[in-house]
Amino acid sequence: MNTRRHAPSEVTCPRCSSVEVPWETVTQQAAYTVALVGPPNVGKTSLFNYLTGQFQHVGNWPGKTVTYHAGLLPAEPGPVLVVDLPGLYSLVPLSAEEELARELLYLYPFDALVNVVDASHLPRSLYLTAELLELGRPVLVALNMWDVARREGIQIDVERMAVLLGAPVIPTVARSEEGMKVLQEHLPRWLGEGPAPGRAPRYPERIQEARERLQALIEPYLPEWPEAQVQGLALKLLEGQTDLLGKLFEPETAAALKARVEALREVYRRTWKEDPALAVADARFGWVEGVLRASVRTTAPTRFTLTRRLDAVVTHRWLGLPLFFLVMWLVFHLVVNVTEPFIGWVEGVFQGVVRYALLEVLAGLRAPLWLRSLVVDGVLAGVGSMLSFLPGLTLLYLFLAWLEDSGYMARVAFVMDRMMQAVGLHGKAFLPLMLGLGCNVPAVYATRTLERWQDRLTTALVIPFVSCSARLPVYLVFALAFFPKNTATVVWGMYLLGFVVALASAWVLRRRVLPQGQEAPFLLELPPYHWPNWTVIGRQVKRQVSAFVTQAGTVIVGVAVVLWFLMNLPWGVEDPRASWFGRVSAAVAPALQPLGFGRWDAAGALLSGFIAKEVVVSTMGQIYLGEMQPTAALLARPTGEEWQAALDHLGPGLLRALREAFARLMGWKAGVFQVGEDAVNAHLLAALQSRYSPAAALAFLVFVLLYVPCMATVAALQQEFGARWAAFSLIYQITVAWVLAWAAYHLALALGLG
Amino acid sequence: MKGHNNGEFSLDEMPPGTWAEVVRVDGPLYWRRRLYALGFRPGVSVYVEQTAPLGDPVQYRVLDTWFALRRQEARRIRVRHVSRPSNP
Repeated sequence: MNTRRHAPSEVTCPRCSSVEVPWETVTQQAAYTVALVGPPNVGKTSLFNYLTGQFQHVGNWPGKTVTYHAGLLPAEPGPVLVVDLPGLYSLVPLSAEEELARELLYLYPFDALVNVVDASHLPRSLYLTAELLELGRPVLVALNMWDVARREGIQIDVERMAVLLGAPVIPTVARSEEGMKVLQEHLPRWLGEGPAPGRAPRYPERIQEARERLQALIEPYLPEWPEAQVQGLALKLLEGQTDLLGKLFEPETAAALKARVEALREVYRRTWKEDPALAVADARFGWVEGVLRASVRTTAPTRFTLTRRLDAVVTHRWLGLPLFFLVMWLVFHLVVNVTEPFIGWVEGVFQGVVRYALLEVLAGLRAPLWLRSLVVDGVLAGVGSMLSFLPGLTLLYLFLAWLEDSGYMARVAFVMDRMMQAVGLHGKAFLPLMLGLGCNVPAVYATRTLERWQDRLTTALVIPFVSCSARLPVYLVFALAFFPKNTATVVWGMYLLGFVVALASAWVLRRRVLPQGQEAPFLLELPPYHWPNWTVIGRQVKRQVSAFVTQAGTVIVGVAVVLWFLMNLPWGVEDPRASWFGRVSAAVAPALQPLGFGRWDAAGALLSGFIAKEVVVSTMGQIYLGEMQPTAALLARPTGEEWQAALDHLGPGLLRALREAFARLMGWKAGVFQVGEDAVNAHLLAALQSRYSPAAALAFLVFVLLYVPCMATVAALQQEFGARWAAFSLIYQITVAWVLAWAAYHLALALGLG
Repeated sequence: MKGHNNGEFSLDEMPPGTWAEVVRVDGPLYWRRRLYALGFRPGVSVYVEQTAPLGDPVQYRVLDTWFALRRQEARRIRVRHVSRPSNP
């Protein structure tokens, strides 16, 4: 999910990659700039939201802290700009997001760093704290998850810890906002006092000496840097992070310095008989242990019993997989089946009451026929089709958010990793693939959670094969028209085929096509389970849904209007084929001849599907039904009977939908994709039956499943991987779709479906 | 668990429900550094929680945090068996 629009402004470091909003415009409003830094899964984002009044995801799955955000905290003595950096385990970057965060921490002159620490996991969290203290800037530590720590019997001497770190330490509970007010009030006041840098850890003598030698080497080149910061950089160079030099200096200087740093590192490696990086890491842990010994006491012998009990079941050898599939089935049952009556109801309202009301108004205004048609068949059709997605999408987002926030999603990656590994993907790739079932666009953005570029690219390239919900109407209409007895089989078959092609594609791309990168370790944190906060989830879902309405909705309505024009130009055209739209489609049609549907109208429907798949059915409706019914009659004032039926649909219709949904929920009606006949226009079915053979219909479905999902997906791919890979994916998908549709057509012919 | 030289095993050989103390981490430097930062480093005790349903990856607990590692990665971590954790 593209989270950019939810932040007040995206800021990018002056030397780093793309620039969204100039940093200067953002910083001008602020008296102080602080970075919010911490490991993933510590509630850093909730803290950010509280401080800046902005609401975002909690944690680091799709659309979460993958891009950092900035928000303003208005306060005395001056407003504070809080920059939310991506989650970091340490300043050793493995992913692009971590690298960006590290760069900013070294290169951007933050006034202070707010280190969010998991109080219930101090041994691990404090390693990053040590690295932050080395940076030579003022540090404030927020001991988050204070409640969990207390419950687990961890007693922290906050004052003692503050002395040891040379930094204020404030206990917080992001979820219940306990202590957050203290932090919110203390932070600006502390900044106003002009705080001193945090106390950098004191390391063993040999490390200090080595650091001083490196410091002497780089000091002359950084005359404006305070000594504490040069020390921090020297330590990082000792650890071998020489790429930082390239970001600081001209290429020649950087290369010369790098050579000297490497030479020194080699000397130490020989004398110490281990890499200096590991020696430094060891020293940091020694420091962490010292801090823990002095300021923390643990009373409870066993910890996180709930998580361990749950994990014993959820990731159990025999129960793990069935449980996972049960959860998936449940989500799908609810999202697809139970919401369906409501989809029908929403569509009915738009086709009925709303349409009639508009026609009444337009007729009252004596609007010409073309304007009535534009409003009703163009704009309204688009809005209605977009809104019909909402019930299912809302539920889907709700479930995903809940599963994510509770900690179950990490277990999904754990349970599914072996399967993903078989096709060369990461266990984490399963989530984006699954999200693809809802919509491919957020799925593409969700690949950001993968650490390696190759993993991200492979996953993103195969996501379009996963059948998104927008393709479902096409399957339904065709399945009802040609395979009424096997509707569910055909639809499930399409979903299955999509997954098979996606996985097979991943395997092929991974081995044959994509550049082979350095081997990446598989590393997955399984955070403790907790009960999700409904307020957080509610706002998150609300934001995602409104994002869909504004983003996808705009595209859908826009397309409906553009299509209306194409189909009605040149002005007064009667036969759709003679319209501009028909001419373009007819030019494409011959390429589809070998697939059994080399018709201009099929080509037209597919062309409109480039812009969004759900448009395929409505285009067919416009082409076929436009031919069949006299336009003027459809655009006239509705009759009393029509009004009666439309009004009846409003109230009693909703009751019927509720009853139907409830019946499906309880499983009284195993209505998997069994749409009532009334939901699909019988005229459209008849029109299809007279134009396609069953074999051609099947090939058409395969093509719809596999060719480019929509312009929005291509745009997402372009944003994430550049124009070249977006173009590659475009060509790749069309090729695969053509070849497999051809195969399906001939297979169906051989089976006698001609 | 088969015996090895001076009681050393690789982490992936340790059965669920056992404690292991890290002796050494092999592999590329960036990988060792990352593992160190997470707590997989000499002297630290690791608890083998359980294996994923399909046999891989394996869930470990280190410094009160759960991590999943694939077997091929756990193989690079040399450990010795301990009856109880030594770190705080």
